[in-house]
Amino acid sequence: MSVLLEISDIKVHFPVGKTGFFGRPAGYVRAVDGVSFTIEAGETLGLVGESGSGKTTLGRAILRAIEPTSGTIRFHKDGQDIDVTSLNNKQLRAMWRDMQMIFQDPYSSLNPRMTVRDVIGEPLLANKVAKGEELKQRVKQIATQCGLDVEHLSRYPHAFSGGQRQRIAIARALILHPEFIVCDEAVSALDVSIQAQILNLLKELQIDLSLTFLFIAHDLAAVAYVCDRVEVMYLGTIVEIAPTEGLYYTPRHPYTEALMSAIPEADPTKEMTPYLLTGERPSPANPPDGCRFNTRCRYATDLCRTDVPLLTPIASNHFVACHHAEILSLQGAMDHEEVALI
Amino acid sequence: MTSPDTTIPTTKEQRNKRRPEMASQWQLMWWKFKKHYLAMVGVIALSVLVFLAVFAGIISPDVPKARNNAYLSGPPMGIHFLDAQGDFHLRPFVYARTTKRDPVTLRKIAVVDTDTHWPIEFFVRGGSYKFWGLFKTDIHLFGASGGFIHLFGTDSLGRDVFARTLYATRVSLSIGLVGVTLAFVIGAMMGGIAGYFGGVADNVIMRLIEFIRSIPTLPLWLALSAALPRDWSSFQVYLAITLILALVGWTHLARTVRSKLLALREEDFTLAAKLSGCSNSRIILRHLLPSFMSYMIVDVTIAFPEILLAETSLSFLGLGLREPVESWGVLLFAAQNVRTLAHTPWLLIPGLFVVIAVLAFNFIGDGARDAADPYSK
Amino acid sequence: MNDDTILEVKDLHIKLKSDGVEFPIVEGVSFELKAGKVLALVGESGCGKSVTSASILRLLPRELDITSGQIQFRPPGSDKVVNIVDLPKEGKGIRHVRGNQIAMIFQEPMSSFSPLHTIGNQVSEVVRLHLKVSKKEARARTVKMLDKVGISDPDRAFDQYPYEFSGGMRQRAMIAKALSCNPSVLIADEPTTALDVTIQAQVLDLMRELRREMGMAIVFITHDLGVVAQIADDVAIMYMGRIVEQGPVREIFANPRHPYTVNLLRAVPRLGNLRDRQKLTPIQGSVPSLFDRPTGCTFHPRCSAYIKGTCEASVPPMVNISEHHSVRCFSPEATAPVATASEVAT
Repeated sequence: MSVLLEISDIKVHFPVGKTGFFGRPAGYVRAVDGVSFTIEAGETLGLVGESGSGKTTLGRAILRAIEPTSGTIRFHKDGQDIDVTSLNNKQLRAMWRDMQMIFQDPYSSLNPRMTVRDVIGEPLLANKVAKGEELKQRVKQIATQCGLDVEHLSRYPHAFSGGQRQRIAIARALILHPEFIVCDEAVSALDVSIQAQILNLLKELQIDLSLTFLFIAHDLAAVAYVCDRVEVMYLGTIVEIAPTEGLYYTPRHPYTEALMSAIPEADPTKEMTPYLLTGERPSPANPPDGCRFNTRCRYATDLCRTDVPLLTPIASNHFVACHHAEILSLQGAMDHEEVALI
Repeated sequence: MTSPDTTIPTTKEQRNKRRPEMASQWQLMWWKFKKHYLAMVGVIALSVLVFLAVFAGIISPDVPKARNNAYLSGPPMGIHFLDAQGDFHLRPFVYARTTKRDPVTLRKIAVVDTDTHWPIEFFVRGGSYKFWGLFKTDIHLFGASGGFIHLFGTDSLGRDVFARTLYATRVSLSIGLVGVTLAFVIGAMMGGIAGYFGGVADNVIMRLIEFIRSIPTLPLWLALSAALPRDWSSFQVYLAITLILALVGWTHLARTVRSKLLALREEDFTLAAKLSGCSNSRIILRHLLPSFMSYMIVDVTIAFPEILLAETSLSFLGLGLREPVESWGVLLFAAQNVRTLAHTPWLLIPGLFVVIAVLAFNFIGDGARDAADPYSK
Repeated sequence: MNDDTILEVKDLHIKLKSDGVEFPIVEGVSFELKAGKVLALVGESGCGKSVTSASILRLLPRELDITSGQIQFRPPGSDKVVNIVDLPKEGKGIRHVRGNQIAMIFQEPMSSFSPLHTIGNQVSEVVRLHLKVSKKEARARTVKMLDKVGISDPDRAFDQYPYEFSGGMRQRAMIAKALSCNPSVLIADEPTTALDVTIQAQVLDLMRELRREMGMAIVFITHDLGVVAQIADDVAIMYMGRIVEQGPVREIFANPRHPYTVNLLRAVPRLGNLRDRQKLTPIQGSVPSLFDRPTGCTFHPRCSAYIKGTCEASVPPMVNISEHHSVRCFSPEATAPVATASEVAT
């Protein structure tokens, strides 16, 4: 596998508490604070974390839908090495033909005043790729691929259910045949039975169109189902990246452990024993010194309160940012095969 | 899989008739608007006014400048079907008027002569005018054969108030229309810049709006219109007045546009449009404009009567349009003193038109506001 | 009504009136809530679970009306059974039940508190309203309650405003408010849906603990089967206004019989078997609009076990599979199709 995206030391800081006409901001919310990782071509990388952890901001910053404060993003396409962070507006628009996004809320992501055909065909028009009859044909083709009824393309979004709307949004994202797609909570607004439809659709499309996904979600079970690797974010930093099984069954970071233990398994025979986090999550405007998780971590030592742990490899493909990762033995999610072996 | 028929067939029928899934925002809005009873009344009233204004030339029995020396300050003349003897006439008529001198004041006064009928005829010839400025004609919709007809009476110079009111309707509504259009364009641009780009541009434009709005409007108009050269032609004055009204009136629209844009800018579909490769202007024109168009229409219907009233007040004060142009304000200018009001109250009829127009617009604005967001439940 | 039943809903029908036409929202829902037990009402959006729960406190919006059925409530320590449907919608009777004997918590803790008053003020209001105690006593009681739901430094928290609370703390405060009068029934409408998974775990833990301590019965409305498995004793699965299957939670998860339940369980991603990621089997199509209600069994257009000529002709009756397990289907699935951990192990 080759690397598709290289994200290094991305920071996104938002000014807060602006005072006066030309006033200086009183401080910065460090929504994303120095994040580095790579995304392989053809994989699905999961990005999990609680609300306010900065995962949505990170997803948007990679596309430069939000301008990163600093850091670089390199995109490798057909042997080219593009520095996304240095592109001008025009180049960026061209870039977005290869990088797209699917949003959480299929109600606010579709303009209610445009027909479905116009919504899906807009990227073709805006980039002057196709128009007229050709546009209609291409819209039809991608709509069929996304499981939409082509008879309904002249309708307006308000005539569709949440799941169908998300299919429309997916069709719009895919019509220019992008390489990379950020799925920002793409299934969390949907009903359970519909979620499975959309998850399966994304998996099929990935194989058919050789797509690469960054799958942002807070639903850990859904992430486990679609992702090859998963990264965990806490207060603007990445605390752990690992292949899905490794991360879920053998987490190496105490925060990941807490997340995994909190997943309610849909099996009444197994009572969950969550490792309950104490205290409140600190504000990203004023993160604690040292390891950001130290205020709530049950393994924290003095070292954790002063020194920032770096994301370092601990096993093959398994990276963790914890001073004590080597010595801690943490509990993961229930592994049925292991349960079976015991 | 098709589902079998539903348990409630009535809705199915409604659905087939309406097809809401195929309906554009304008159709949805129209369906919602139609339910608003007062707004529909407003629409009808306004349509009548517009019709009268557009066909003022042909509807009025004579040109507005024509003086009837035989009927100075004459009261409105009623149309009758029954004569004094109680006989029914298929062709409506007006009673003839004869002139006598008042033995005391020696002023000429008109006396109703119930013995003589002036039957009303249609498509009669009268004073010549240019139909929509295109061709000259002297055809009028109706007239009284053998005499004259003044439905709303005459002023002290013997001019027909009915004809003058219709022509004034044309001028006043067009001033409103041109003024609102100008205000709309300025407001949309300024609000668009402030809302979409934000930052310094937003700051500057918003402070400018606050400044303009903090000036008391009446003295501002007065100052501006007093600055107009006296020797300008009435057409020049007309243009200048609309411009003045628009320059003051755009602020409200700009604010609406800005606040709507600020909200829409945060919508996911705007980001989606950006990621689709749309340029800024394309995002505004194709994706955002249709969304706040409906809100702007609401604001326009509210701004319209404001401009209408502004023109009327200016002209009433003698600072707006002047004779020989007819506008509602100009006509009301003649009804300024108490004596005129006492002797010739019919000169206030144009005021009734102002009230009807303003109310109609407010009703429509009300209905439009309710219908402006057809997607909310 | 059985002795240990505290709340019983019998054949409840709720209709929506729109433009003079009536649409059924809830059709013949019946369930029993036993003292100290947790009953989960499960279903997708629009299945009527929230409407059903709101009707128990007569909190339905104006367009919705209970057209028939009974909601019988027996306050603990009393033999008198109140039929809540018979109470006037606004009046002393229902107000006495609300908050005092049956309390409710909602999905969105932010909008459930007025931003203008302190948390303590709003929580103690319930106490003062129903228990008629002095201001000082109400404060003491409220602080104790805040402490009980795990809010650290409750005395300080009493004087804080909702915006100073995080989502999880607000949900705790709302639980404190709901529980401050010792209600015998708690209705929880998606109380953890808006919360992060770690906070959800805390709140679920809290609810389990409080239930053990205070012996409350809970009606828990959710769409999350994981949460159901962890908190409920009994489950009622709803689809388009009807309960399609109900029974003890272990029985339902191990031996689901209604095709909808079966498919719902299959559609949820599970953590247990990441190694052989079997494809999820989603339910085809989507929930029809309530204006296009299918005839007969409302699930038949999406059902894999659809029997032509039967399912759309009439509504299947609720049939008992075992003593406590009943299902509303003409062809209930015979075998348990969802592999649970224990089965994988054997």
